[in-house]
Amino acid sequence: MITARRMPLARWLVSPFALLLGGLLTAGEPDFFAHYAGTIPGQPAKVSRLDGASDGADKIKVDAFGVFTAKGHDKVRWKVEPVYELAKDSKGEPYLKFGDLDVLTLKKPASIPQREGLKLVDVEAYSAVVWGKQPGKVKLIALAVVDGWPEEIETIALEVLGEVLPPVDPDKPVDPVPTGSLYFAIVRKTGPITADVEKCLKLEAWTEVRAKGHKVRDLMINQVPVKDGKTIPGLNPPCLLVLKTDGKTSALVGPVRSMPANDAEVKALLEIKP
Amino acid sequence: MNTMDYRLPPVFRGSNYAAAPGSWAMPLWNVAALRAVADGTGIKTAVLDTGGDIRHPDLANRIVKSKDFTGSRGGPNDDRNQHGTHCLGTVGAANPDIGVSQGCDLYCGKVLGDSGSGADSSIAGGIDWAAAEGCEVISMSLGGGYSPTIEAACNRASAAGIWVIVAAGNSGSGGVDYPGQLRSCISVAAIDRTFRVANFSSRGDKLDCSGPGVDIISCKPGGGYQSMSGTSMATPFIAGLMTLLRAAMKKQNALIGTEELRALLGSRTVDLGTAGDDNDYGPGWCSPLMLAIGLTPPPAPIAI
Repeated sequence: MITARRMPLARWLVSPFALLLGGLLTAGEPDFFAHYAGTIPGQPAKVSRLDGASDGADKIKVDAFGVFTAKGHDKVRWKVEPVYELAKDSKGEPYLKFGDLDVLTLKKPASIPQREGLKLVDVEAYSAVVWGKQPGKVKLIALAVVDGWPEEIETIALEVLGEVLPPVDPDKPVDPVPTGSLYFAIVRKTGPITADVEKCLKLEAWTEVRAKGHKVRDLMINQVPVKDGKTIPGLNPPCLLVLKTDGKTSALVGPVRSMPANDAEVKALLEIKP
Repeated sequence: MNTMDYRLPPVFRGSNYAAAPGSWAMPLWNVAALRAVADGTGIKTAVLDTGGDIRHPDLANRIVKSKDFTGSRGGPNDDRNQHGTHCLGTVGAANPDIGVSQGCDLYCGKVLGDSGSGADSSIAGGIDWAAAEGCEVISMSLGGGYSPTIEAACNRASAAGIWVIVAAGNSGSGGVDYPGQLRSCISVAAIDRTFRVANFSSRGDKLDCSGPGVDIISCKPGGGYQSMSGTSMATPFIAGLMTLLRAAMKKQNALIGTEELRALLGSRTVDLGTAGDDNDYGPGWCSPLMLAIGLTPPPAPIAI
């Protein structure tokens, strides 16, 4: 019985025709490795600091920058990774001490990643500007091609110095007094909320005010925080204080106002510029 | 062991409902204003009463733990009195038209027998159990004469930072019951849908707030719903609100004790009746909106 013989699939894949077709199909794709051609083998890779920082080669401050370079390679890519808090063994020693990055003694993956603390800007082929954004520790990694393959040629531990902020809680209200917003304080007499103040606080237009990022709350007159024990002229509850605050100090925006009586009067408050 | 009648039987049992018609109090009191800030997640709230029907669809997945302190045959989830199931539903039924908090974990302590009576040692045991379980709010729709055993348990709970919400009583002008009179407890009066004090609500100078307690619809053992009236019904409603408030305060790391809570309720309730704190309403009605507004941090000090 004669049957048509077909070329096996494996032979198709290695045939000159298939290789030519594959080359044509991938010709337009970027070649990641091509950027790293020309490596100078045998020279030690070294990351150094160019900006003469006084904080030490491995430290930068929040909102400051450092310039790092890796010599010995004509093309270098950079990346940053967060450093992880390390699990500790039964003796209380960390499984992996910070900096021992080439020693794979990490027995247990870290559980709490720290926030990435750097903004990285490639300025040249072999140097990078790193901005300290948040306090913490990060790894700064230089990548180059060695013998035709990308390799982490140098890793340094960078510490971003600054006040360590508590972990971000997504459920927690953001900055209680955002910069640029106003704080509307309805000042009332000490004690339970009276019917007129209740009516004011229930006005629908306050929702619109809050939606604009402003804060609204009532304060008993003895709760109004005034610096240096001074008194606010004209403060006669119920009334309205419009405040601009930076979170540390508040300042009056205009005089003491009468308490809004309706939605239109509340909406008119939106005309006030922070 | 003293056995006393600590039950506060509902002064009125109204209609039964197969499907929940919804409590009038939820929209009228604007519970949504406080729910928008926190739903009670992370808070364990205990209802110490006649037990609770864990098979009720609105409670089946809400009660996380139950315990019987009365030695009843049926155990903590056999509520033949129906009072406890009603109170549990008001605190945290899955149906948001019935229960105030859908996020909290409910703990059911049966400290009153099926007849509605309970020993003071059972009630104190229930309070200590709730505290040991990590409950942060305790609702007790019960009352009676003074008991040093119960006082000691309430004091222990309050000292541990737990808010103990207690019914004022249904004796009208007869004065606020114990343990509602204790400083370690927050006592609750009952008002109706017109914000007028219920005629049965106990009067006195030891009232900390008023809650909805007339014709309140909540869960009925075996399924369905029923309406009841009494300060027993106002108490779990306030306990539910306190659960929401506590969850919100916990988010802000701003937890307060019983005395601070009493002061807060005194300043953030809406005045009813005679101006200021009075013997009918206490400081006034506990408004979820006002509590929510009060959660906004005060402004930074003002420079003149």
